[in-house]
Amino acid sequence: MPLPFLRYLFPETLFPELRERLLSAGIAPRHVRRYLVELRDHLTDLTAEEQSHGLSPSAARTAALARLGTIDTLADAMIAQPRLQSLSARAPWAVFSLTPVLLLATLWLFSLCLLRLGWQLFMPGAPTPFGGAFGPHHLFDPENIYFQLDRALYLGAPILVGWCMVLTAARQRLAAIWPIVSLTILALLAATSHVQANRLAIPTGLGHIRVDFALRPAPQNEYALVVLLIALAPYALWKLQVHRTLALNS
Amino acid sequence: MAARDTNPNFMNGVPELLILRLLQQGEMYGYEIVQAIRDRTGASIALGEGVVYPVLHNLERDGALTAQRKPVNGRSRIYYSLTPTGSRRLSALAATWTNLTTAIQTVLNGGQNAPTLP
Repeated sequence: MPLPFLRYLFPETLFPELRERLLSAGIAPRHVRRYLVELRDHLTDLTAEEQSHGLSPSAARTAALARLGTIDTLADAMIAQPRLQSLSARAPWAVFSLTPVLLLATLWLFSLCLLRLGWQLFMPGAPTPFGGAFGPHHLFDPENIYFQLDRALYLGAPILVGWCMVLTAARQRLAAIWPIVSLTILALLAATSHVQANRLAIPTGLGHIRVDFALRPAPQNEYALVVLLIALAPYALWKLQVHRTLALNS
Repeated sequence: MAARDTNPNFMNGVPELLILRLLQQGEMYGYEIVQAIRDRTGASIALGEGVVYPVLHNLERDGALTAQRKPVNGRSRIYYSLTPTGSRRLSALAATWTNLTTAIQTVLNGGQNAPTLP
């Protein structure tokens, strides 16, 4: 029984072999999905047409499949259109190295904007929004919940982006090297980043937030490992499912 | 010396030309297009019927066609229609095809100055 999220990657279709061949050849998933829907509809129309000529349902179905074309013919016709390939198949090096950096930068920027907003709203006079500057606080204080959610967003961003990259690779049936490249970059960024926020330079100013990147000891290394493992888990499950399916079919 | 493949497959561009011409008359879905090609060519052009869809997808990607899903008789159909870009492409393809067939006919008739065979 496949896991629910795996049904997204392996939807029910009349032509599973055709789907796998097209995706492996780099055809964009949206074109593959629509092609399969159109073929299914066309097959229904052809079967109805053959039945109207007096054939039995099974004979009509066989005749309709013959008219539709063999799997080889249908696959070759689509693969012969290179413009229908996805960007991730045509330039995986760009998609899997640049996209995670850009997505992570966007999420981190959003998180830091929230940090600045919270600093101004809840702690306008504090020299920094981190650590002891909070003073005594309770778990369910609004400001504590706000800053903890923002922290979760910052720390979870590499995992979210990692899942996006893993999903992209799995949908396109790409080689394992590409999501691993993405996850390695994300883990490195997660391990080396460090946020600083203080009002030391201009005490009466708005405060200064910056992100430094440098190799640091624990717990950053453990954090990188957690990012790598959690982001990689769905991909490993998907690969396991592929192997099980192949083993069952062979 | 390696052979040069300077002549494209003879059928290259033919499905595209036929599809654009049919859609010039109004929107159609894939099955309708295939039936129309078969009817209007007297079944002279026989293709695996499913191979029409990659051509349609490619033309849509080039902006020559637009695709729209519509419910018809309780079923959802993807209808294709011609765009202005598609009309220009049809004119260019039709002109090329006319020139090509004229040239071939001339050769079959024995050359430009040859008398027509009885």
